[in-house]
Amino acid sequence: MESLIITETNLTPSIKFDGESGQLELKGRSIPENSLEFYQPVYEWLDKYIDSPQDKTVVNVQFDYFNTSSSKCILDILKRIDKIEEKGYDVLIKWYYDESDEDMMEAGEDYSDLLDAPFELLVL
Amino acid sequence: MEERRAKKKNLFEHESNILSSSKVVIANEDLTLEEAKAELISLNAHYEDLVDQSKLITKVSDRLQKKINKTNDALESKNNELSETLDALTKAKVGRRATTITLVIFVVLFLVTEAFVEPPIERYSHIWFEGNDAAEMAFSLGVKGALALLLRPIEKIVEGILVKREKARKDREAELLRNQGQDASVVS
Repeated sequence: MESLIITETNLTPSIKFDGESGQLELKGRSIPENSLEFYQPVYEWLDKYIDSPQDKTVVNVQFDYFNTSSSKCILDILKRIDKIEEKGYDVLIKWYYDESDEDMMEAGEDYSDLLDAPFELLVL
Repeated sequence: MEERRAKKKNLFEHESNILSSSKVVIANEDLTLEEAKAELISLNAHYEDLVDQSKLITKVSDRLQKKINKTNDALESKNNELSETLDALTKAKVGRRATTITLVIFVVLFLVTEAFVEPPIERYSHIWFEGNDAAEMAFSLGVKGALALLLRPIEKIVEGILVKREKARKDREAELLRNQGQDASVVS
């Protein structure tokens, strides 16, 4: 499966989804004008990946900041990861946050509460 | 406005589709109890999901607001600091100009004293303290000293005038900038 690479900008995070290794990464700031437009390719890639995922999928999430609409899109992405776990595959979500960023840690906890997949909160 | 509405609609497209298909099911007059129950179970699950989403989004939104408030407070504080620094800088600049002007006044006063004040002082001290050289000199120095002591109040007055003028100039510039901003917003 082809990788999905989206370069980071001032408004959008970098996306590195490697279908061969099962390593998925979202990193940076997410404040796009139209969140859905930005995340649509990510949804599409994940929908394909869910059909034949790797035995182990690791999702590394490291946001500096994200807006409200992005929070919904991030949840939609992580829900798709949940589906992989529901299918019986190994999944691990790693939520990285800066030690001084209490808000990002709490956001990670909120996402963790809504998901069934194993979720690790990690200090950078 | 239309575009914003479209964006909102798109972000919850999945949820909107669920609602639409549910409306179709409910509108079916031949709906059996089993089908209605299955639809209710499905809707219940989606509703639960939506409640979870709402909770999450509300929390994220509140945190963002908190962050914005903090940033605003920090900006206001920095703005005050900057304003104070600018005031101090203006005062220092004006103070230097005031000192220069006072120095010029001092030189003029010195010359005026030497040319016009010195002869009457000598004349009157000679009349009042006739024969007493020490008293004559003390009187002469006293008058000159009093004139020299006037320099500090003069400097203060000059500084006050310059600060007022500087403030008025800055106010005019700020007013001009505000007017330009208003004109630009009217044009756009």
